[in-house]
Amino acid sequence: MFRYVLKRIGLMFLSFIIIMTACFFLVKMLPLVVNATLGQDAEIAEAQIVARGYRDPILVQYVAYIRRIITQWDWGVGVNMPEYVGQGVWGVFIEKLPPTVLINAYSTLFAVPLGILLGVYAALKKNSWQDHAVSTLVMVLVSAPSYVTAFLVQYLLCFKLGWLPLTMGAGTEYFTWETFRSMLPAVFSLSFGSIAGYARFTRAELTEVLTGEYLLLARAKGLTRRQCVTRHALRNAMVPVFPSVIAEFIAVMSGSLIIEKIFAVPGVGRLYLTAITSLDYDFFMMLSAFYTFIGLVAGIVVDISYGFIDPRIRVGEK
Amino acid sequence: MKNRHKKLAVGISVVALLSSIGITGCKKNTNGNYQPTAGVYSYNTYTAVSPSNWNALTYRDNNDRQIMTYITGSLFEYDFAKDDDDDEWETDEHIVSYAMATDLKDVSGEYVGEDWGIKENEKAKAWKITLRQDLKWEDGTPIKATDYVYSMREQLNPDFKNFRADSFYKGALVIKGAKDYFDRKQTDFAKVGFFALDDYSFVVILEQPLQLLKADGTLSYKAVYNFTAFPLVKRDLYESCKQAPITGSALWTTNYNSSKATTSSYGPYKLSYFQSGKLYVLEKNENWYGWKDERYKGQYRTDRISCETVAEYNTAWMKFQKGELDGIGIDVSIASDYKGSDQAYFTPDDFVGSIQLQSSKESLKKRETAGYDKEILAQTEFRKALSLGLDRTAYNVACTTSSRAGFGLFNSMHYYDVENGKVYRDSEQAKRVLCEIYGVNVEDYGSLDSAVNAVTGYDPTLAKSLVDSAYQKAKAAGEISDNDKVRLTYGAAVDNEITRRYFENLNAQWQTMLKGTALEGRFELVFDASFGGEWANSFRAGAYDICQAGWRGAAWDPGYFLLAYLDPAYAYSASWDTKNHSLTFTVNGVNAQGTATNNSTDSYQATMGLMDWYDALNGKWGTGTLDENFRLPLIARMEKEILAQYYTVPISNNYSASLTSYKFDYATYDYNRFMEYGGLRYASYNYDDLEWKKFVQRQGGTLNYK
Repeated sequence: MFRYVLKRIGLMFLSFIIIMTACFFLVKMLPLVVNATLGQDAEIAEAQIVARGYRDPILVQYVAYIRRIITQWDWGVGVNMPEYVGQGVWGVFIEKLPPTVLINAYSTLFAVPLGILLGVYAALKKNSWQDHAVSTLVMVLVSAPSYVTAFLVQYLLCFKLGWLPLTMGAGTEYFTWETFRSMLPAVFSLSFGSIAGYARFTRAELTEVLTGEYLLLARAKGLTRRQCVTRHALRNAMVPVFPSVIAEFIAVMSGSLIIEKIFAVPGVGRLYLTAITSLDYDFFMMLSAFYTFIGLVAGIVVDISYGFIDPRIRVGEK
Repeated sequence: MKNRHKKLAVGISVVALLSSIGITGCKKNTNGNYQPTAGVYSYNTYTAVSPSNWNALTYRDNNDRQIMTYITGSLFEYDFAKDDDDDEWETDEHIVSYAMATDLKDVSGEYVGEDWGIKENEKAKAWKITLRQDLKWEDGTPIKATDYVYSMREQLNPDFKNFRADSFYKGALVIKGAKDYFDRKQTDFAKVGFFALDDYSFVVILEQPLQLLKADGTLSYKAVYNFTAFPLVKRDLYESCKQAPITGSALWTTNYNSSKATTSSYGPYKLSYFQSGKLYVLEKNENWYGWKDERYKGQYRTDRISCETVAEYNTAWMKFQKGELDGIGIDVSIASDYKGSDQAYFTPDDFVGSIQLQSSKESLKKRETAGYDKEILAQTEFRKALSLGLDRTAYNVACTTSSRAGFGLFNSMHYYDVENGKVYRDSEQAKRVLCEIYGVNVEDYGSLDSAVNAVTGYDPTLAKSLVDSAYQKAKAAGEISDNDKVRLTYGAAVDNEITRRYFENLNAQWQTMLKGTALEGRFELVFDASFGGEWANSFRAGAYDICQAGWRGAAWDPGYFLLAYLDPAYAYSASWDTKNHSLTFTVNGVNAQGTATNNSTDSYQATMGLMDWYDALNGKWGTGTLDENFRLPLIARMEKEILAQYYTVPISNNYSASLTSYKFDYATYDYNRFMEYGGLRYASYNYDDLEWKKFVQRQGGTLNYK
């Protein structure tokens, strides 16, 4: 197992280097945007490009780029990003990350127990009106895009009822009551889809597990229904569910572009898309590196987690 | 044992969760979130994109200027005139007054010689500016003339290649020696025409004369127009913000004026809070000279300006209705309900929106596919038909909030003599251009004014006959057959509700126009938003056929503004050879040798390429050299020549519609070309912050602006 983990980590780094190199070369091959406004000297825009080394051979730029990161952890400065011109790429990303992580973490904390509870309830009340009600609710939440639920939450809870603020509060002290309260509309909007997903998944798994013969044996031995479900059925039903929770928690780093825009969350959601459309090389590369790394780590963590959750599963063993 | 460990793990998790919630609840919010206070007047606004760089040396666009407007000052400024009798502002009049400067003097005679390129008796090439002696940065550090010199040196610093450097070696304001210093042709800043005489005065020496005073010696508007842009940075802070080139680069950069820590104000407000992408707050700068100056008494009553970044319009709209924002633009989706509101006001804009039609026949041919023709767009008749087939009024009603039908390259905001309020579009020459281009015969109407008022730009009957004529010519040339369709690509930067609305409206109108013609049922307009940020360059390069774009700027210099339509570097009709497009014209006030005399009996006739006419109009016959009344006919003639190609089809004159909250009032709601509505400088408040909060609560938490 240990050797397997080491091997996976090694492969992960190799994959990471290959992907990042490919990204670098591909993005550098795109034509540069040189926008001069009316009356402006296009030579200045070109002079800046030359001075930044963007006209050098791609390989030369790549070597300089890698050396900069390794020796100084300098990921560059924003050049074309509308809100971050001249600002350090890493600094901006670190500044933007906490709101995104927090909102998505809160939404996961809210969605996972509620989703699982709903799924368990529906499974236990299978084919009853309660099951149908939960299934209908799940279907509605799964069908509605997150921006639709976001607008509904914002309009009802924030605008009409005035219970919550329309936008996330300002400031970088995120662990205050006011800030937490201002995050709630975004948290709710993000969690509805997850609640529906977990509920549906849990119901399906638990329903299948409950039909197992070993549970019949457990009941025959004298365990109550509750004891059967909590001690045996749930554990087996959660085998596929927990890894998805871990994967989603790691995936939260990408942020939600639409939710952050609607609730004015100063997060990372818009960074990647803006970096691509404005062709800001440094932002694009840093964000690509980060998400690639996160994606690869998530894959390893999920694979390994199976082994811990289900002792029958031992990855890497023959 | 295992069960005990599990219970322990669960217990620890629950305690940690509860603790974190507890800490969250107990910790006080010290973010600086403001609580409404009695006696404090706040102006709350929003922006879709947060400014990133309000450094006068490097700012990119008007978005970055948001903060600059409040934390900087100018040497000279516009102001409302004051009625001496009742001490009230005359909001329909303006004056130009000294602000940070106390004197402006033409000292050309003191710098005659080859060093500065000033000849004997030449005027308006060297100006001495005297500063107030009470100017300070927000931390109390005095501002001296040497600070201006330092700032200009940094502006032109060749190591930085600053974005705004060309403001001082290109266009109307060209400082002597600036370009050579910027290009490293010489490295001694003392040879640049920008130097201090003493602590409170400095001299600017220009390449071309620029008259900044009126005949009576008072300040001309040109003093503000040209000399406002002189940058001013705080030396010690700017030096600390310099960033050496990163590995692989030779370009120095700076993060001056990009955060609270790197910002220093010398204007009426200072930056008190900045969170990138979220919020910035400005509060009064106690060290601003104006607080002690009687001239500013009763102005700048706003104590606090708060601007939140809200990218989503619907969110901003809800915040406005909740009283959290004090102004908002009226979107087309709510225009019908709110355009008639008492709180609505309309601001004219110098932006003219146009449809741009592809000028490269080669690219049209190259992108044709079997059964589909594009080359017909290369025919002027067909482009004219597309222009005449548009009901511009209907288009603007359907697609914009309050813009109006546009017919020319200039609208009512373009002045050829702004000092005297002379609007280009109101001139006889400009009116005749519209009548001639849109086929309105002046003799059929009682007067030129009646004729130009009859211009609609919409003549579907003529448009249909032009389509048929163009079709026959294309057929005769073998470019199209009876089985072919015409397929044109309408390109856009993004695919959203707005761009789709424009596209649908144009498509519908053209389909209607083509009924009864040879192309009925054979015309396809295809939407393509794949070009993203490169849409403009892609169009110029011939990647697609139609785009919607326009220009704004140089509203007080329409002669200069023609650059947007003639220079291939800017013009959307990049394939139109304006250099070799001949025009024969006679200019009055210019002698036979081509020298401006301003003598009405002199005239100069020539046949030149359009770009040569443009260079003359902005060079030897430039503003200040040849009288505006003599330049005007040439501007009009060139506008007509551009419109007659139908590569640019004007469609909208921009008006923005906005709502202001009940909290405050502008000085005037009649637009003043220099002062606009008076801005926050002259705004007055009906409620302080606490009163406003209570007012909103009394309305049930939601305000009605209908």
